[in-house]
Amino acid sequence: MIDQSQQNSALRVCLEDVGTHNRAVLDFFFAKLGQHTFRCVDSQVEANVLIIDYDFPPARQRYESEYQEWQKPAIILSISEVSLDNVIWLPKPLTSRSLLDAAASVRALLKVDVSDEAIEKLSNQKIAKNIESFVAEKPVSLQRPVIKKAEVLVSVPLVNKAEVVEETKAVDYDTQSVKQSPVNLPVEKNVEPSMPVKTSLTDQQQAQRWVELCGDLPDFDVSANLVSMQAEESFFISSVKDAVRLARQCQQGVLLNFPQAKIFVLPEIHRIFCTVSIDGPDFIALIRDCNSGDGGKMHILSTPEIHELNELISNQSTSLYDLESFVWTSALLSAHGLLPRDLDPNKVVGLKHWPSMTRVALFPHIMPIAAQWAAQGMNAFDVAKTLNVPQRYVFSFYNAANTLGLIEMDPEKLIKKQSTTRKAEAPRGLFSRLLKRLVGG
Amino acid sequence: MSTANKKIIFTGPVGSGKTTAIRSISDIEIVTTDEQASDMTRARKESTTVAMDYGMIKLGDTERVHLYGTPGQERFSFMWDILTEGGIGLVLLIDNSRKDPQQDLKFYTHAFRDFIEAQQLVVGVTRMDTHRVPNVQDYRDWLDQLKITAPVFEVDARKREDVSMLMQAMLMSLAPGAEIL
Ligand SMILES: Nc1nc2c(ncn2[C@@H]2O[C@H](COP(=O)(O)OP(=O)(O)O)[C@@H](O)[C@H]2O)c(=O)[nH]1
Ligand SMILES: [Mg+2]
Repeated sequence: MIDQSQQNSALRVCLEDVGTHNRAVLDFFFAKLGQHTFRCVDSQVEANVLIIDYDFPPARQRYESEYQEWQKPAIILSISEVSLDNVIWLPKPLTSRSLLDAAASVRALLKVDVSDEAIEKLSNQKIAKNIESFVAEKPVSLQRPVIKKAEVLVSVPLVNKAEVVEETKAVDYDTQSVKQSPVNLPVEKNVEPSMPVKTSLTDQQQAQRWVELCGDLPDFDVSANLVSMQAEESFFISSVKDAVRLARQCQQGVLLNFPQAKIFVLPEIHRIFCTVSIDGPDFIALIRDCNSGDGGKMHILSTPEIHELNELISNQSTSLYDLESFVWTSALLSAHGLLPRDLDPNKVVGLKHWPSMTRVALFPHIMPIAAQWAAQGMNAFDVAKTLNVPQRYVFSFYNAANTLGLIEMDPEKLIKKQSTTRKAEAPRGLFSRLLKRLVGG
Repeated sequence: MSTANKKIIFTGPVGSGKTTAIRSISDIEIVTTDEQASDMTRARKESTTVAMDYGMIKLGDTERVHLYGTPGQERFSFMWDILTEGGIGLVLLIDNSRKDPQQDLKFYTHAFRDFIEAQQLVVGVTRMDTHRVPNVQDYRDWLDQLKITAPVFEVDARKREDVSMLMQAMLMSLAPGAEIL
């Protein structure tokens, strides 16, 4: 006979209307963590508790017609709250803890309620009937997730391996349906071990690009005069920032005009269209040469200009950039590894949010710099020292991240961050090996 | 040798790119696991399948990092703590084309809150190539509201580099300054 009384023996549990996935996951739990608490049985006759997945379509109905009559305590799993007699509701997603706690509650129910024996008797009378209906309704089919047509959306040209090139492809820009602009992203290739790098540049070209982005200055002495590490903000980057601000404020496209280039800031799609490629020498020349005398005027796009833009985007296979990527690259190219006047390398700051590393221009050590600064407030000198990396990369990150508004300057918020730093020790050996694999391809 | 502390969990709504992401990064052809079943003490009559994606990254000759994708639809995916036990971190993929990505973000970060607190979350927003709105900054703001700190990257689950970068950010966040051996 079945032992029914021991507090410490496992609860005999029968799963009802639990779909295949969930059944498997629960089985996994019963086999491990829950092994002393639950023992899964195949029929409700043997069981002293039922576990019912209430979200499984027929479960509710069956609860009313059958389960209730069995008069066994039930643990009901459901996304939305269920309040029924003799039932313990467990909200999904479940945790092992909540199941174990539920077991304790079931034990309490079993004790105060009708004795197990009585339950057994009662249910025995209904076995025949129950088994019949049980069999009739089985097998419970597994609900497969179906992706609806409507969700699949407009067909977008997928990036074909063969056609992945350095330049961004032409895109239909239409203010009404701006949501579906495909971008073509450059292939990434690893050059320096500490970082993956987009592009198909040679090592030499890549090194040259890093010089353009981050300069090539040697480290400064921490006691050196700030003036030597800072530079006036360029006219170009301040114009871009103003244009972005204006566009965001009015949530409309803004045209920033230079004799050499037209820059359209498109806040609704978080993009910038620029008639000059930001990866080429012309863009660097633009940043160097532009001045308030003959450029930098901006205004909200007029209807004809929107048409012009559509035309441009569809005809000209130049560049529609992610807004942040554009600003990021502009900030880097404008500063050459120096800091703007308002950034002090001695000031402790932190990283509020990471830039979207998959879409911004990368340079050496960028990941460790971001991680370090996200983990704790530090000054730029200390970040370079701690990571043992050239200051110009730290300064570049500081400048570009700050231009995107990602730097936390508020000392109070930084203190809070400090106190919530993770306690657990990370298995650095494993991480290093895994990182190497990820970086190395 | 324990495998428990060498797994990375991928989660997110159906269609967010979990299977694709694991496939992009895995050294083996990914499997939709049956394997869990053999791990169970009692085999059931009907074949029990945890329709969970499984992939693996090989490190050297013996070391393995296991990649798991959580199964199915939200309401069929529970007991996530079992999956995550001893995991390195969580890659949450959010499909930017879904009706309410903010709600998805909320749901999954809540469901995995203990794991996220103990380990590290990274968020990859997929389908931004077709759906530009919301943008990454929106996700940052939403995470702020949820008081969660995590890198958010635009990713295309079909691109290994994107998935790799997301995982690198996870590892680096857990161990800033980790050497790349
Ligand atoms: N356009 C686009 N498609 C994607 C992206 N990421 C994944 N997909 C596609 O989305 C579909 C669903 O992905 P899948 O990995 O099955 O999602 P899962 O349900 O989370 O496992 C697949 O066809 C992928 O190729 C993306 O960033 N952009
Ligand atoms: Mg899948």
